[in-house]
Amino acid sequence: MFSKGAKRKLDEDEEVLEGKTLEASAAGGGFGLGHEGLSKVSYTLQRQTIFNISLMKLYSQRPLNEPSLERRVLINNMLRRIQDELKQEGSLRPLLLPPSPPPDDPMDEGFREAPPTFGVLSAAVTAQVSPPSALLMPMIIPPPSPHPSVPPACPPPLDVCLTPASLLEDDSADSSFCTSSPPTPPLSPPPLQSQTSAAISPPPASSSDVSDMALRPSTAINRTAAANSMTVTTSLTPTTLTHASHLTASSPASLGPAKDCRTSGSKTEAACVSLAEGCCAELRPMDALPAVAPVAPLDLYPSHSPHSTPSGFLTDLALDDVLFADIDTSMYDFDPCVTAGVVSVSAGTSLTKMSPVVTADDLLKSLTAPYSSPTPQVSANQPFKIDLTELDHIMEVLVGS
Amino acid sequence: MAGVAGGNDFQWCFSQVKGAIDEDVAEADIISTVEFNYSGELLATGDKGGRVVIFQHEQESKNRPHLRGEYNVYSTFQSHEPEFDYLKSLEIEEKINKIRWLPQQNAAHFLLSTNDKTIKLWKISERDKRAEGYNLKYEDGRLIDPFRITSLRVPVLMPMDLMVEASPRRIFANAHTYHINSISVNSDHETYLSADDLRINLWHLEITDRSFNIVDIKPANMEELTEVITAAECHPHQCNVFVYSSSKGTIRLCDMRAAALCDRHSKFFEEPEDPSSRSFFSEIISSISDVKFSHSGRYMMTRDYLSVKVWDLNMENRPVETYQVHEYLRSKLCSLYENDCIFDKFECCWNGSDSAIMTGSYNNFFRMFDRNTRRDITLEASRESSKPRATLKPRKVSTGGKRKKDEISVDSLDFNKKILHTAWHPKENVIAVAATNNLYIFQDKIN
Repeated sequence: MFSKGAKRKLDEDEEVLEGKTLEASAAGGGFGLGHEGLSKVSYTLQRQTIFNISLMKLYSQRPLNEPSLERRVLINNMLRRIQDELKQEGSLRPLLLPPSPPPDDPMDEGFREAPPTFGVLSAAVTAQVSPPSALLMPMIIPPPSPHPSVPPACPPPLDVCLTPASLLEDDSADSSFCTSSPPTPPLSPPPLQSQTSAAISPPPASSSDVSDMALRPSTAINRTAAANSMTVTTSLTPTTLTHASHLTASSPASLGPAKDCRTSGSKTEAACVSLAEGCCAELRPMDALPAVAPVAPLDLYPSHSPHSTPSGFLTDLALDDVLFADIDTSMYDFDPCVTAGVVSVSAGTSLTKMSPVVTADDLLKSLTAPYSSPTPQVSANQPFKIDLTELDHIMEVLVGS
Repeated sequence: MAGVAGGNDFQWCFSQVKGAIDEDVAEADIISTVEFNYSGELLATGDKGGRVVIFQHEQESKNRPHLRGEYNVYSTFQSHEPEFDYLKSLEIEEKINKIRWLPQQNAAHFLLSTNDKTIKLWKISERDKRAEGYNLKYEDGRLIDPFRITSLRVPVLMPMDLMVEASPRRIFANAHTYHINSISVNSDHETYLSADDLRINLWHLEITDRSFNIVDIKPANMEELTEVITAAECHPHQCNVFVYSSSKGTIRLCDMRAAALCDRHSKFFEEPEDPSSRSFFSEIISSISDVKFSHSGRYMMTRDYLSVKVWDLNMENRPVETYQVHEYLRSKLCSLYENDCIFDKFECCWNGSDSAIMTGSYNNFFRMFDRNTRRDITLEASRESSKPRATLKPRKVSTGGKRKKDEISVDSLDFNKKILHTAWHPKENVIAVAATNNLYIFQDKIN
């Protein structure tokens, strides 16, 4: 702690910010028992913040000394707990989980149209997700932590949360996650990541991932779909839609793959990837709310077939993209240690800095590529300015700030 | 013994402070453990630089009758050096995690010191005489040819300046894969245990190449690991009994007579969680950072992040006493999590008669609780009040609402100044408080 004494001022600033969040959550009654809207929102927000902090903690260690096992276990338990909670809420799951297809069932139209096993989406609409958190996120996460090199981390998809466990393996050769980790890509995250990269910029370098993912033809398909949607940036093409519905539909089945990922012990890359894709995954549900709300929840059901989707859903997606881009830029701006133009991605920087060993080529590529070309995001941002301010307003009302 | 706080009977007053005054604190000078020996005559500190400093209590001086004598440096030695683990490519810090004295058997003193991996047994002995008058060697040390020695000369002991020697007697290495958090000398005076995050080993003090693993909680698959051992201690009187605490806030008492492997506990102490105070941080703040048996052996005390609990060994379902150390931090847990303070490992200690307990807090505050009167007091270790015999003023942290005069608000607490290690003289009301790189010694005021 002493070494961090210099950062005291910053810490205080952020405490103020945090205090607000905490107060809000306290007012709401903690576990969302009180005021439907507000409490839920602040609770989700707090959870999100904690989640982000936890991830940063796990992946931003200085590998000089062996890190404390107790600390790692406790942080890991925290992540597990939040993850379990998300699972129980169910509604978040489909949107949070990376669209990993079932192992032996390559994703196709038929699968997508398979009836959902439960009313995930309807639940999602009933205020399970908080719109503000998505917007607040960039403001809250930023340069808070004692780890200056760590940028705002975004929540990873659920199965990635599990990966830290593998890091605990101490007796094995790759005891410290920072130094070891052969470039084994996680099994399931990549699909989402592909969206991420696609959404942010043309999906260039992640191709290495694709090859690694050869097990899953579906991944590739999905990727291209996402890419398409993004190369057309502003226009909401049916592809985006398909992609989204695919997200929801596949989720029930994605439990299996999630487990795979866990046992496979996806390592550092998974983490990095998760940071990036987390944004994407997390934001979708969040901002989906305001726009979707007017639409009757049930309407979403039909959306499993891509063609029957109500227009409201389309708008969401558009907003997603905007928010997504927006947040991404903010990440970009916030990172204090970016020497202009260098990899700004938090996870990327911190990890590469800490342990050069990790710098597997594909990791670097996949990380740097999307972020080093910020231009597309900016352009994508423009057309949706209005929507953003609207959202801002809604959020203000909700939070009452 | 009188109450800690407050009664009218006595107050705490400043006695001494050790360590540099500089604002700039060298990392190596940060005190990482404090321990009185069984008589209280010696006080040992270990620091992050791997050094052990031993202070000795000097007899009362006639010209300062109001003071009970001071502790002065008796011996300083480098106990551990930094090492490098080539297999893991990690540094092994030299930081002294714990010091434990052995009961004194002869003129020499023995102590165990440990860093993350290696435990050492040190002998601290005095020498104030040396033998003179050998006729076997020349002055420069060369041996004299035996044929030239014609007479028998018996060397004589001549007085010399007192020299205190610290020599390593045993080195207990290579038995811990994880970080050693506790060592505890058994009441049989022959064995001791050492605990790391996942295992507890039992050693004989004379045998360094072998130890018995008595507890192992490492799961076959490390991904299933959700709990670690945070502290362990031997019972002060029953050499077959020891306890260990976990990161989930539980304490297990094991009986070594039951089985050689104590993976299965005899008693399991756990307080059910209060659902009303449940939060994301419930588990982290319930993690036990220290466990100490009372001198009587009837009770044990555990410290978690926000409180100290006293348990009766005969009651497992809840503690008999719970004291809040800094409850005002409950609303700050998120920040404390973020800046890692929530993982600070505060220790706790009993006074000589088990009637009072002490533990540390932030802002160089430390807390004492009188078990009989249930009174508590917050005191501060600071140089400002460090005039001889200056009475320590009770401090108060304002919790919300208006801040009264002399109160400090929660927001202005300095979380870089924390008191993790404290020790209470086993017989008298003298306490040692480690505040970063300074060691404060306070005593009760004699009226």
